[in-house]
Amino acid sequence: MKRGTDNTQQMIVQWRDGAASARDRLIQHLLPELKQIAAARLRGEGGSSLSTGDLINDAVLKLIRIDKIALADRAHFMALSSRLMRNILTDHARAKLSDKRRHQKVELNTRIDGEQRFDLESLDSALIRLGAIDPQLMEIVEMRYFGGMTITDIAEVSGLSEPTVKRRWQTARAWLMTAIDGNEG
Amino acid sequence: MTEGELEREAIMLFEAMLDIAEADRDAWLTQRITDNGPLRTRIEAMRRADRNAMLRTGAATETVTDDPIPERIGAYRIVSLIGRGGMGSVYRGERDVGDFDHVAAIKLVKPGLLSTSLTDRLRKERQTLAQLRHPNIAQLYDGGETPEGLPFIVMEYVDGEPVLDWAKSKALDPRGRAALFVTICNAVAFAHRHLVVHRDLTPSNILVTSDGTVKLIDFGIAKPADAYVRDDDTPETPASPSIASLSLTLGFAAPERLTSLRVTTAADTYSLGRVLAALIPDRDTDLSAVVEKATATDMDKRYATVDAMRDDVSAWIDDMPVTARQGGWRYRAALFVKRHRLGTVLGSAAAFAIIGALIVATVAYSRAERARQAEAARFAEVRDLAGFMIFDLENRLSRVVGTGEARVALTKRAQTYLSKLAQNAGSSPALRLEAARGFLQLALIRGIPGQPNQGDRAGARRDLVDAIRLLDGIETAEAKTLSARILAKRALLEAHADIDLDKAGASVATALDLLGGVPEDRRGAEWRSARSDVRFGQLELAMLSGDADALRNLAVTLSSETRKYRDVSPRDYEVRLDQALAEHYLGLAGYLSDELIEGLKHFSEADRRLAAIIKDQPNEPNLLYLRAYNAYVGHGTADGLPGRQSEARKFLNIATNSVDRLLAVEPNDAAMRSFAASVQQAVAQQMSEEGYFAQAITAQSKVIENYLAAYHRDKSATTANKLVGSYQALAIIADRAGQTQQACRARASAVGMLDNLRKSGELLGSVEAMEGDIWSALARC
Repeated sequence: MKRGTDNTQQMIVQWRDGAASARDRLIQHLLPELKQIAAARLRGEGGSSLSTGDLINDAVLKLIRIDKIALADRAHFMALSSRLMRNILTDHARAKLSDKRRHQKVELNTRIDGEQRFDLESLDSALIRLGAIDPQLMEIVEMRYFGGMTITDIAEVSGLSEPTVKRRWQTARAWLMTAIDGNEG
Repeated sequence: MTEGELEREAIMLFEAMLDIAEADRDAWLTQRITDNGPLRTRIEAMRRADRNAMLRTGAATETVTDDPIPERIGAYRIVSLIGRGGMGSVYRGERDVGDFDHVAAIKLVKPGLLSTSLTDRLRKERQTLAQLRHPNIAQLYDGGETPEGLPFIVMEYVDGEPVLDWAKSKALDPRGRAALFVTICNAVAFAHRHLVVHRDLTPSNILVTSDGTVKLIDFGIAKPADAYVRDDDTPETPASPSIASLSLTLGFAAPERLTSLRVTTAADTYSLGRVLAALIPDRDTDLSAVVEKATATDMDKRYATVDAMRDDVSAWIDDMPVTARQGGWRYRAALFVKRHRLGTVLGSAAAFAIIGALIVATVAYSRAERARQAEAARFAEVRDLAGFMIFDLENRLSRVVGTGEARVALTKRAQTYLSKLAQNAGSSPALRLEAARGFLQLALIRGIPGQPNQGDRAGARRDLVDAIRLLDGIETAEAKTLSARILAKRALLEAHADIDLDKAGASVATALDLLGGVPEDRRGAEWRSARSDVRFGQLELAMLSGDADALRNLAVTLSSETRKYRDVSPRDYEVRLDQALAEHYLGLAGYLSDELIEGLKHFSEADRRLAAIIKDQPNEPNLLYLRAYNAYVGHGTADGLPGRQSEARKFLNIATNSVDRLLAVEPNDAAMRSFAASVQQAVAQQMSEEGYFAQAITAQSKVIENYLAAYHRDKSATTANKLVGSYQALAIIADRAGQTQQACRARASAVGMLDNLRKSGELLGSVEAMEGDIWSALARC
């Protein structure tokens, strides 16, 4: 598969330099792959437990030869992939939901502890609200929760210090849980 | 305050609160929020949610807070933290052993990372890994679980530098770096031969100690999640793929790691290619070709083995052609000249002659030859793997206590490799022969009577059929010899499992014909060993049909046949074993023809010889089995003789001890379990001899109970024949105890069984011999 790997690298650099067109081209480039990987995983996993971080890793590894890309670029690339993956998974959840509206709520449960479960759609609407209140918190959740990114990588992308990222993530997480609770009542 | 403002305020406060110690938070909040309004409500809700913390990192590899350093793990006192990684933390631990401190690196896997099945897997693999001993591989000592149930692994503590740093600090030139890489390859190849794949080879996993010793760390444990393969070898999505994917070291992991395919040695080859690239950044064309070949996206295009890659790097060091660069003769000639720089001062005619010869050689290295070599390389891996599994690993596992189930799984796996090998063997006789040999070995492990086995008769039969089919049409001496061996084993199966003595006789006769068809000058050690196998088949047949004369003649033949070679190689295992076997069968011949004193002499001699071999080969299951069996019949023989009670007891002790040892090694071995019952029966009889009738009856009833249970399970003729003997034995004990009614009941049961066996044509001669006694006793009931 000749995918013009150097091209990807260039696109990332241009995107980081602020070229919006590069970002769009990257998305165009990423999206089909991400969808494919997500679909494969969702089939294989039967919707029981899904680690989205793996999807992102898979996508990133599959798309580009990582060794040629600097750490900082990788983190940005993962952040972008996280955003895309959130969209893909939420779309997927919605599609499933409309399929089985009369039955139960979506089985697509994200990897969480404890008995309590929530569906991605409620999470997504909570995230949209969070984005309106504090866009950075939403981004951190995307990266951490959907992208499975490390604190270090998120610090790299966001320009925050690692302790700050940890604190912000913990806050976002707590807020989201209350938001989802309230939603589902 | 709008809702948005409230939320922003809540978020800001909550975040600031996180820096305050848990105990002080209430007071801190009360200072800032004076009322019990909506803000306080929001904050408290968030605090509750935070305590439940259910929204975790997507990949769950990072917990927000770092765990504290434990004081002890297992038997080790934790001294310091070496590092934290995706999977968990690595500590330096010390343990007092004698007068010196034993230092180890202890890897503690993070809570929640491993599913129960993964933990199990880790537990199982630990043993394999602990057996992996190589000077360039950090040794895995031990492992276990903490009281909290977290798995940990204890490894050799390596005080070294990552290989890239080391090479840099020593200012190694490319050749020096390549030499270092060859050492790394050797260690990896060693592990592959032991079926261990590293899975995450990176420069930081390859350390070099201060004295320049290379040490590969984290072998085989880097990625336990990948170990998820069902026994039938179909790829399976890991139950928890997070560790696998996330702990891939970016840039060094093979692309196929992203699919859910099983990780193979090819993944390590890929990683090694990346390591080589990192180690030698400025490469010439040849070395670049090596890296490219190792890191090909298509697994099949990579080096078939790490050895092959190492050979190329070694060749590069010596200025020899590398296979990765499919260069023509010009390329080879150029290298030849480079290698023989001194040679160029020779006269031009001489130089010409050398290069001329080289061209001829190169042309002869035809396309067809290359294709053949490529095929051979592809097979090498599968062959090695299958061969290792069924010959080496099985053999080693058979000496390890409690590996029965692992061995069954192993043979299943080996079977798939063998089948693959057989399918692709095509017209290559050598490969077919090898696969056939593999199937024969597999059959032996599975269910050929006469040695410890898994009791899977049907599986063994299929393996033998496969083996015979593979050899079809090959007329070489080697194929004939192997066919004879296979037929000899089939005869054992037919005689013992099917009780079809005619069929077994025919198999043995064909085997003898095949052996006779091998020209005299081609009869090597393999042929002799095959002949021993055929003799063993003949002897078992003679014994099962109760033919004492045939047994004696055959035993004499076996003894004289092997004696010839005893002079050549007196310490040879097979020769010594055959000598002992000959004595054993001579003993049996005496037993069957009622020449008990003669028989006893031979059983004693057989025991002496077997004990001597066992001294050299302790814990060899076949030997222990044979010794137990010999002692068992020796006991039966001495028991029938007046004044030989102490000998009888001695034999019974030997039998009981050997069986106990074997059962400890292999509690699920079918042959052993059945044999153990026979020994228990002998013990019951011994009790009866000594007048402990009540105990004897209890013991013997227990034996019958076990046999009956086995019979209901397998409905096999073998068990049925044994049951007849057991009933008769119980009857005899009951007679002596004066329990006439019980004796009569036992004999009636025996007769019922006898009739069934006769109807199905499965009555053994030795059992049939009891019939007269049973009937005459029954007449008195």
